[in-house]
Amino acid sequence: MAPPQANAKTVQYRRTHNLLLGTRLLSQRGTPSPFTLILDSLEQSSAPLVEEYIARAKQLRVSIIYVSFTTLRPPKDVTKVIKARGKSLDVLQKELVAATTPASGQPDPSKVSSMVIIDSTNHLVSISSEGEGGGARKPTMSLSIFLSSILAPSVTVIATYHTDIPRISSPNTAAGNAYAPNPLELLKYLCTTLITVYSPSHTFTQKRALDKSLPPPNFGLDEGVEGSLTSLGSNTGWCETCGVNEKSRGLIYELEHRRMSGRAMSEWFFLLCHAPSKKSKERLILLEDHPAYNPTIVEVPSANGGGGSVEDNDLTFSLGLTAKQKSDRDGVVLPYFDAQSEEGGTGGRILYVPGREDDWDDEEDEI
Amino acid sequence: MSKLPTPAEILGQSFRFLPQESQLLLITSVLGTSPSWLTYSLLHNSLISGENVVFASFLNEFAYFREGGKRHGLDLQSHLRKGTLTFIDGFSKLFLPVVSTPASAPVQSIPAPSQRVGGIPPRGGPIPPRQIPQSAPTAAPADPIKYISLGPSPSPVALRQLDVIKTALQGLGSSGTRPKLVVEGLDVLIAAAGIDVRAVEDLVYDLRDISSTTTILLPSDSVLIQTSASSTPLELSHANLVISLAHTADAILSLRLLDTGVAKDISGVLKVTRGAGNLGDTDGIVEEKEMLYYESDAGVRIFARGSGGH
Repeated sequence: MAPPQANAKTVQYRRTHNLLLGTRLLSQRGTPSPFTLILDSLEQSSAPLVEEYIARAKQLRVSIIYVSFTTLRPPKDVTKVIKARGKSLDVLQKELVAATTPASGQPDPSKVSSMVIIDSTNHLVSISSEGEGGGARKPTMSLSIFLSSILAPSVTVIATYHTDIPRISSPNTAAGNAYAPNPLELLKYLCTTLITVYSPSHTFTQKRALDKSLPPPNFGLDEGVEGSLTSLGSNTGWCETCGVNEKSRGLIYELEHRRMSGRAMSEWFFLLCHAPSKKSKERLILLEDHPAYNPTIVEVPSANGGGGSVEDNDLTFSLGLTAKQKSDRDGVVLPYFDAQSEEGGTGGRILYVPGREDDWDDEEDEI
Repeated sequence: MSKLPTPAEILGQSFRFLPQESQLLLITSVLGTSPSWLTYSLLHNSLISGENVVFASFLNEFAYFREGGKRHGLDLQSHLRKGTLTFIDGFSKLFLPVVSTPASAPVQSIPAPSQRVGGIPPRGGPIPPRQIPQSAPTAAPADPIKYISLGPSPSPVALRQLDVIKTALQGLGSSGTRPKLVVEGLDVLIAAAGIDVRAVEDLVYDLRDISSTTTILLPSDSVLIQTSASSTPLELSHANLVISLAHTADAILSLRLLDTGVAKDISGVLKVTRGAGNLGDTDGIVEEKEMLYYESDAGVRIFARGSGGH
């Protein structure tokens, strides 16, 4: 889906409602989302977003279980790492259930107590389809049974799916599988929150092209350059304050959250690399509130009122106005102000009443 | 002695090879560009700084790299003799019958070349027909090159032969620091030996686990990575391998030809992009860039677009 055009009418409403929901989902507080599916690609990895989830979960003392199919270096705040490579779905399920069952016998259903992170659902899909139709082999459980078995009220699952890896369907499973949905469609259907991540640099480039009514450029595998897998700007983040040699972890994501009532909310967010100011710690903002995406954004007035961007610290006089000066200035009636309202609209006619002292020349001037 | 760009010039000044971190560099190339100079650059850097390297190739034999390295002032033969470099030849004997132990009876039945499945032409131009080594038991122990043979018709069991790479890594990594690994031509295993792509991915995962920096060279021509609904399983497998590795890589170095055609003082374009692996907490950042490069007898030069390389 294309990112939204800046819409001044709804942005205020979405700034309050959707941003709040987005923050709550990221912190897994108040609004439960048992299964979050993150779709990523070579242009933008989901890693910074997953790290943000982990950092916020850590503050809430949630135990984090990292299921690693491809990652050799899991993020550092993880409570437990389960190496899933080479394991069957049954074994993995048993390990996960054992890890997510709370040790003390009194689980609090209102609070999320463990978070399961799956680094590559592609591999989960491929091992779940391995045993199907295999005849002699014992059929392994299906993906939906696996997922529903690990989901409990106190567990939240965050799974990443790499959308650009082509899926290989084994030839011997084709017969039994013809009517089954594509695993990605199934995952999208099962999840309660669907997130698609985008590279900020690519999104901004596309936006600038669209603003000039140019066709937006393609990136990555679709760039159309022979032999090129990824484009410049992939995984680079976007941050004004980061130096050249610092990693910026900013990213753009589209979020679709399905409430229990069935109503869905869809919104585009920008996850900032740093907190925007000292006062607000929240790193999540609406995409439209990012100046690089929406240059026409109204700046929030600064706290000291006058002055604004003018650096007036080392001046010997004040550039600002007192309240009285301001009200006096507002009361000044500009010359010909009433003429504009009464007789205006008739073009560039000069309003002038000739006085007695005017030296009138009838031949030249005509009024 | 010619000059090669250093890894710092290619990957950025702040990027560091970490001894314990299982980094992954993916080098992709298209037909017409040879990624060998990138390999030499990395090998040169590692061997000069005294690190151990395991180099496995399924596309070329050691003579190809020895000659190529010599042109760039890199004496691979001496490093091989010293033991800091282990070369694993997965090309010369890949489809010859499996020899159980080096000291056992010499190969008796050599299949006719026409029956073999292999025969991938090396990148460096035609080579004279290989002399299939007849019995040379006296020379075998002195030969520091390890060979991989899967047999004339590889079966899934033959995968165990690939453990040679693992053993070589473990043998070199005993002293606390892990060795580096360079693998070329994993696509041959999928395309010619019929090995499942998942098995190859598992192999890479296991190898990365016991090595410090893994460098993998794979072709990325558009026909091989652009897939559609009508793609063959082989195309899907190749694309699957390249893209899954790219998802875990620290840096992706892709070589391609100049978009505007052939130029006499430009060999191609080198693009360095940051992979998801570089987003973690490890220090050092891969600087993304697109540079032109020119390979000549005087070495390889990389330069920015428009600077003409002078």
